[in-house]
Amino acid sequence: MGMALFLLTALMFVVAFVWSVKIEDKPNLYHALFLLLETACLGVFSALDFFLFYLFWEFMLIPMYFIIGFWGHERKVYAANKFFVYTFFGSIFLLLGIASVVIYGYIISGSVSFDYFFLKNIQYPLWIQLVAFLLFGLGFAVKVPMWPFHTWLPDAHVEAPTAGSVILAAVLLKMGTYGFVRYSLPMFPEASKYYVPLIFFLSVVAIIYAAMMAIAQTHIKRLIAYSSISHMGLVTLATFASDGNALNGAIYMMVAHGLSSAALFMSAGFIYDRIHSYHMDDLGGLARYIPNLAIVFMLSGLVGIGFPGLAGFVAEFLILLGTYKNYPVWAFVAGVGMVLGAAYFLYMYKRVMLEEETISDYRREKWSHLKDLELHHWIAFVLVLASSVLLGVYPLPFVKLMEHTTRMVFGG
Amino acid sequence: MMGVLLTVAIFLPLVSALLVAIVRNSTFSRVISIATSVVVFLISVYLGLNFDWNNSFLSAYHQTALDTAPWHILQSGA
Repeated sequence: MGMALFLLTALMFVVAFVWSVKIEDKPNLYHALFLLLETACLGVFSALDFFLFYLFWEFMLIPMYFIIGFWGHERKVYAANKFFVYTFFGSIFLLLGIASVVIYGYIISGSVSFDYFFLKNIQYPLWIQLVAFLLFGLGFAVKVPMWPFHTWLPDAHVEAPTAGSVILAAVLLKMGTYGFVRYSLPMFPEASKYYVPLIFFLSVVAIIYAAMMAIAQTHIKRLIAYSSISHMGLVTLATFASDGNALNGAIYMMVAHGLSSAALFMSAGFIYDRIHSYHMDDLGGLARYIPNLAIVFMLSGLVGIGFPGLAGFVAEFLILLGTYKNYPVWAFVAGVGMVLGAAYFLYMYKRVMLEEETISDYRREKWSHLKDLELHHWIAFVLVLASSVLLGVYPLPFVKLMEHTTRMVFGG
Repeated sequence: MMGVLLTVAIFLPLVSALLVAIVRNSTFSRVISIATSVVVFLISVYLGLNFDWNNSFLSAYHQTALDTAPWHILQSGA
């Protein structure tokens, strides 16, 4: 799984840099911060040492804080502070969790080790598992984000620059779910079973509540942010469904959602660059004026709602298949979330790209000169959407890559 | 080899960030950022294609320069 997310991270930074090629406000600092962020993200997904993992995990906050705080929109400082405080709050619990397993490792072996495989192979007593799972889980839950720790995400997305939102949605959110799969499940198997009802409850609330919130939004980026919370609820639900297919689906969903949310945020960013508004009330009928964007926007949404032949479909299918086996009722609820996902995306598309009758003559005149996608936009969209099609049409090699993780968790 | 490539992939952006900060030229920063991310992506594709199912990829990671970093003093109990 680390390899899959490593690939996703590397791809998303290419996309982010290509998208930002025309940035004019402090370009040196902007690119330097994104490069630092790339090192931190890659480090998180490849660290096999708790000290390194925590170092990269924390280091990632600093460039992202400045990216939102410097290049964001009207309430950028508020959003950057909220992002920092929430995630730092979670990180403190993560640090306590790491300390608890390292100290226990020291007690039983007599040496201090941060090595992942050493600490993973220790048989922790149930009470340590229960405590450590909660400490790790709080750190990861804030980052996912799971309900009720999600409120930083819509603000951060709404205020962040487009490339910042792309990285936030496609890479940073995955660190939380990655943590659950990489650390919580294999290290604390008994606690993972014990906390299944709690995790399922939080996941289902996230799936349904965030989907309902998304339907109620008129701000495009806020809608996509809530859709991310809903999708990540699916990931956490499937992660703890005690089934190999569900876990494969969860990991696949991390990648598929990374691609779809990145493309959706790029579409929203493009609309803002051209029309200077994210509000659906100011938009409508854009398909006539920027038809190329209308096509890629539709494709991006179809990846997100799990249209057959695209990455999201494989992920949702595996999640439903695996979850239904052990928890049919929860699988049904997850299915409802997927249907709601289609509803809010199509609602947004209708209001932004169609509904031409709602726009005034003044806007018709003004928009008739709108410039459609440029070369760097095309490159970014093609990279993301081609990957989505590849993952949707030929998922086998990627599922094999993930089975490695599934074997680590379930044995075999 | 795989471990070295992985280390390069992780720390190349850090080196590029320092370069961008030192040179302070906007065109240079754009070019170096895209070039760095493309190189990192190509390395990650190579690592993905050569993924070892017996986990040696992960073992190789532990034989890199990262193992000599100062925090490993903590592990040895010194």
